[in-house]
Amino acid sequence: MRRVLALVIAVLLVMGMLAGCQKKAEVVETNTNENGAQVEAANNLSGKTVTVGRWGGNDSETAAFNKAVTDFTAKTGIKVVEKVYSDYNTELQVELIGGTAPDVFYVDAYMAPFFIEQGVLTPLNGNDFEIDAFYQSLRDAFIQDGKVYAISKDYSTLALYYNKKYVNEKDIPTTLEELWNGDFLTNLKKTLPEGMAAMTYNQDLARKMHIAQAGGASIVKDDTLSNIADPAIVNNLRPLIEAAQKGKIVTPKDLGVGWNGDALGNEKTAMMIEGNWVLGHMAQNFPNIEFGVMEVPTFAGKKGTMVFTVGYGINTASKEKEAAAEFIKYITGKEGMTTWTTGAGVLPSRKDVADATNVASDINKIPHIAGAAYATPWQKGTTMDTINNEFKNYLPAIVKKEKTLEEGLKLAQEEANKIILGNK
Amino acid sequence: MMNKRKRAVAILGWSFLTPAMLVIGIFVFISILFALYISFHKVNLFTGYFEFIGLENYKRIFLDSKTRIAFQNTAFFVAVVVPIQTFLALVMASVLNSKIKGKQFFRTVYFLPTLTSSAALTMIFMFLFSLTGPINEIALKLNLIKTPINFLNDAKFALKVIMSMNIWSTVPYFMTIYLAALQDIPKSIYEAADVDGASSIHKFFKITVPNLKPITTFVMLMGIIGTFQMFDQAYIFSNGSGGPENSTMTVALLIYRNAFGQNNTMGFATALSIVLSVVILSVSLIAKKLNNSDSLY
Repeated sequence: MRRVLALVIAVLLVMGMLAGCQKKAEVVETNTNENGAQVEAANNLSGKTVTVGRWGGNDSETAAFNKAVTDFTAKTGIKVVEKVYSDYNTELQVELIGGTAPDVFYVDAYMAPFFIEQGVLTPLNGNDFEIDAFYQSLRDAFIQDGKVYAISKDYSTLALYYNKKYVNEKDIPTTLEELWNGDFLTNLKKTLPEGMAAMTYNQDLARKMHIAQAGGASIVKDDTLSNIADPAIVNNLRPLIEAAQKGKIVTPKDLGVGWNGDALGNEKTAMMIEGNWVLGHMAQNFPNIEFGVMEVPTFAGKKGTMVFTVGYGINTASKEKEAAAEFIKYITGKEGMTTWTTGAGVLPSRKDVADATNVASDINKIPHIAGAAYATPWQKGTTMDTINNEFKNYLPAIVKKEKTLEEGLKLAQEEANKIILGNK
Repeated sequence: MMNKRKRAVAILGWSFLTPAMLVIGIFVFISILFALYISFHKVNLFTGYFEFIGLENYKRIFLDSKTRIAFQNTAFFVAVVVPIQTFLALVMASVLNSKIKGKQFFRTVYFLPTLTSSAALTMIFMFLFSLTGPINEIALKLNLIKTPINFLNDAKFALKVIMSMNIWSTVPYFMTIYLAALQDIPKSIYEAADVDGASSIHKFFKITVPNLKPITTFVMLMGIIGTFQMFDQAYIFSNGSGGPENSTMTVALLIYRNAFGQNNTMGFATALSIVLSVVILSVSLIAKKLNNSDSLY
């Protein structure tokens, strides 16, 4: 009897363990709306389920996403299961390889060339998604060889922020050359409380690619190799780097804060160049700071800024491609994008939605929206990660004057190319 | 009858073993074998592309300058952190084992860093060592330095900041192990030493240290394994880049960079991790030999 009992327990243990092996993703069922009376049963997709992979955002973003999903399900009868990742690109990569990736997922523009090269994104029929309604730079970020691979959901651009208590907008130089080469920042610093910097900057190519590439230079040559030490790029970066070497501008890290937003909010800096994602941060955490926003000053005689966008793409391995396409059509369509962008406070990628929702009524967003017309997308082939990484790696030594700008960038280029060629 | 019984016992034993065997088999043994297999190939796991390239991945490890830097950094990190953390843990344990007042309180306080996640600790240390942070402020006030040092963005200091953090956060854990071991040293040995008129420093080096030798081996091995695999602190510290100037590039971080992101060189990454495990194994064996822990008994 005891033996039988023991065996039974053992079998139960094994079974319990095997049951534990079943796929158990962190799935949040965001919607169970089945009694949607208004279900347009025009298609036979009703009742299907689409999994959507995304990274988590703040509360208002989550609420806006859930609202859009509820509306979508009520309209089409297609259920949506949300899968939220914390370390997005790493986790998604693992799931794509393992074959458990969601049907639809966020595609960051800078990762798009890589995903397209790996063949994990389904080509889409652009006309179905009204891609002509989108800003050109946002649309083109996901087009390769004439094929559309993802549809932009929103975007962010960089603009110049200043603290109104210390800086007068009229005094700010209108060109970056003047701002960095001239005495404005030095004089401003003298009027600030001790320990407060005149301006912060980031040691990241993502924030200054438009400057590096001014006048037609390119950070990439021969499709994959780093070209960061090109004399034209060196000269383009010189004003910025010299300002950093002279201590006119500092990094947020130098000030002991995590990023520009905290530096401005804690009155550790008077000026910064930052994306519109900082607006929500300021409103939520530093409502008493009065700041102004203006377009990034011109460089080399031209307006310029960076634009960052994320799109929705369909997994090649998806079994619900039609339903997935329906979802993207809705969420990047007029109605879905209106719900998403007004709720989350982000900028709509579609011009018609931008007009309809009157985003330009927010004075702080105007410079960001203006930037979309001339911005450089943060995207450049499949090796940009390595190129940027080596740039970040050697920039501190340049700023500390341990290496000249030429030497440092040459090292960054050589190092990156060694890795890129080694990976081939 | 007896035979049948034996068989039943055997079946019972195996059935109890099966769950663990399955888990370890799938997640450890098969993974190791697969990694070994991948390391001899040029692979693209997205497209399922496998090409046998023999020892190319391993060859690259020895030719690649970045890999050399990563191994140098890691070796330096281990060489500094392990001896210091072992020694400090031993000293702190014997102090807390003596008859000082409030030792329960100190034991609790000292153990707290171990309970904090290393990600949070890294953020705290980055604040402490920032240009306007407390460390610079104190050093300025004491006139130790004239201008604040940029610890975080200076290749000369970055890895050392991580070292100090690592030592600070791991010492308490090893201290606890030593504390437990100290209870096992017979009081009579100390009493005999007292009779002979030994000083407390003498007692520490002649009685405490030799008696704890097996534990020291364990602590050192755990330290070596932990420090060779250091990843999270370097990752957070440098935002994943291993900078400034490769100063925080560790082997584990290099493996991550090659396996994920746009690099997609899983073959090279697995070759690196296999070499890393061989290195850890050999260093551990050497450390064990040097400490000569068996000789005590």
